[in-house]
Amino acid sequence: MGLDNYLMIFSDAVVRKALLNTVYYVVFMVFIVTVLSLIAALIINRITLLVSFYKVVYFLPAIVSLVAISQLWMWMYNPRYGLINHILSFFKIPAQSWLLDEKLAMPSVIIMSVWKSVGFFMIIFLAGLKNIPEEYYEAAKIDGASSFQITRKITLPLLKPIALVVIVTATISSFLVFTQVFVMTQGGPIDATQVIVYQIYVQGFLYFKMGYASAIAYVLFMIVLSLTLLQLRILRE
Amino acid sequence: MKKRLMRGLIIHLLMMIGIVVSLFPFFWLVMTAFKPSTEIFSYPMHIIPKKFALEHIKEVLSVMPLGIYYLNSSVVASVRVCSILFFCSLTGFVFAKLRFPGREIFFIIILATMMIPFQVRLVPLYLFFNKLGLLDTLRVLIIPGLMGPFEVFLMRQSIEFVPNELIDAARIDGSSTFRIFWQIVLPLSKPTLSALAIFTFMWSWSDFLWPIITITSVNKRTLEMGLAFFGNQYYTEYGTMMAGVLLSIIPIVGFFLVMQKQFIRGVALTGLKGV
Repeated sequence: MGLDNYLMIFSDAVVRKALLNTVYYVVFMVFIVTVLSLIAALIINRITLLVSFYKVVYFLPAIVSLVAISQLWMWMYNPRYGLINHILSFFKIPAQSWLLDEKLAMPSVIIMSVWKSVGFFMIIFLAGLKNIPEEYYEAAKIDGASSFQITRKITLPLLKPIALVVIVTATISSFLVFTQVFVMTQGGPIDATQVIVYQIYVQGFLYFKMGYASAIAYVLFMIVLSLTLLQLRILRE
Repeated sequence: MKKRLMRGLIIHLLMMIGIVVSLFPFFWLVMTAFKPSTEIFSYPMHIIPKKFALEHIKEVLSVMPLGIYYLNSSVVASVRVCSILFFCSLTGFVFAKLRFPGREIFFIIILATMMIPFQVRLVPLYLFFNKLGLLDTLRVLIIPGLMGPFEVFLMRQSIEFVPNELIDAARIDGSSTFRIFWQIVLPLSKPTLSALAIFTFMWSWSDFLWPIITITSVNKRTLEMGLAFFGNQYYTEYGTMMAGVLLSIIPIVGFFLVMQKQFIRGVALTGLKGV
């Protein structure tokens, strides 16, 4: 009882891998999603034609269910008949095993998750962009600033608070990744896609080691809590 | 002038690439769902089916109890939405407009619970409902979602903007507090409420981990669960699997396309709960 479970975590290679994998997933997922959604938002903010169309289409993957998207991408990643390898063959790139390849499995999951979430965060950035008063832009234009300079010196700094919220929110929710792993890889191949919540599920509800699962959940809680408090601290400034 | 045009063209080109990337998987989904298996597993590959096949759709409809799955998900989601809309706005109202000792402390406690992700509470929640004997019922899916700290927070923030003069005037006219809530505050909160409704519905609809561990009977499964297990069963029959995916996403996609503006507005308002 008690501390035994926590000690088990340190000696359990699979759980250790899960912790590492989750961090790997979080870092890449958050970075790529934030950059892409920010760029998309900046571009959409500047155009007047077809804006609603772009917004709706980009947002669409975000509202389709994660299970459905996971299954769809599992098929897309199929080594022999999947769409991805089919498209790559046009560029003379050799077919990859994607979800079955120990090195590519996690990146594959990350790519799918990025695809699903970019539209969502783009909308949030767009909301933040709308809050920047027109006068700032006008003043800068009168001073003769190029649009690139405007973006760098005015838009980006003013977006900092929203960007921070986006980053922390994405980070926390990325730490909780589960469904994609359950549907697409079940943690494999060779634990390449093991993640924390999936381990909680496996230990608690497949092996029924509830105490152990709770210990893992507690570790997760500590991680998420520190991130949340960090967010509060940063936002307060 | 020409430079502007060039820039505009390049920007729209980039956007179009994004459109293709966003939509092509769905296109592939539809193509696969209507492609006969012989063509799906043929080499060299082609995207558009040569022969249009309904075999997969028929298979899905005969094997997967879609109706039950949809019913379960809808019931759970609807009850949760109604409960959240009513109770969270009421609570938000209390915290925003009523004064009582300990108000700030209570609110901070509620906010603090927001910091505990659901996945962390998973095991104790499961054991709790197990003790209550509620496992494998729709109630176990509904009850944990009847209220939420984030929703309370949202409503409180929104209700704070209701002018106090309106409320004071109503009080002078002898209106009870509940009537003030029902007839003044609620109507003024419509945009937030509709955003909350959509958001809660989608959140409940896409709930996966909790149903997976609490539901064991096939006829109590939610749509997400059903789809996952169906895909598992038809692991190598990709045509059928994709048909299943297609049939499960059409209603939500339709719903989204009809209510686009509310969806997008809702995200900007509430979106930061989670992806």
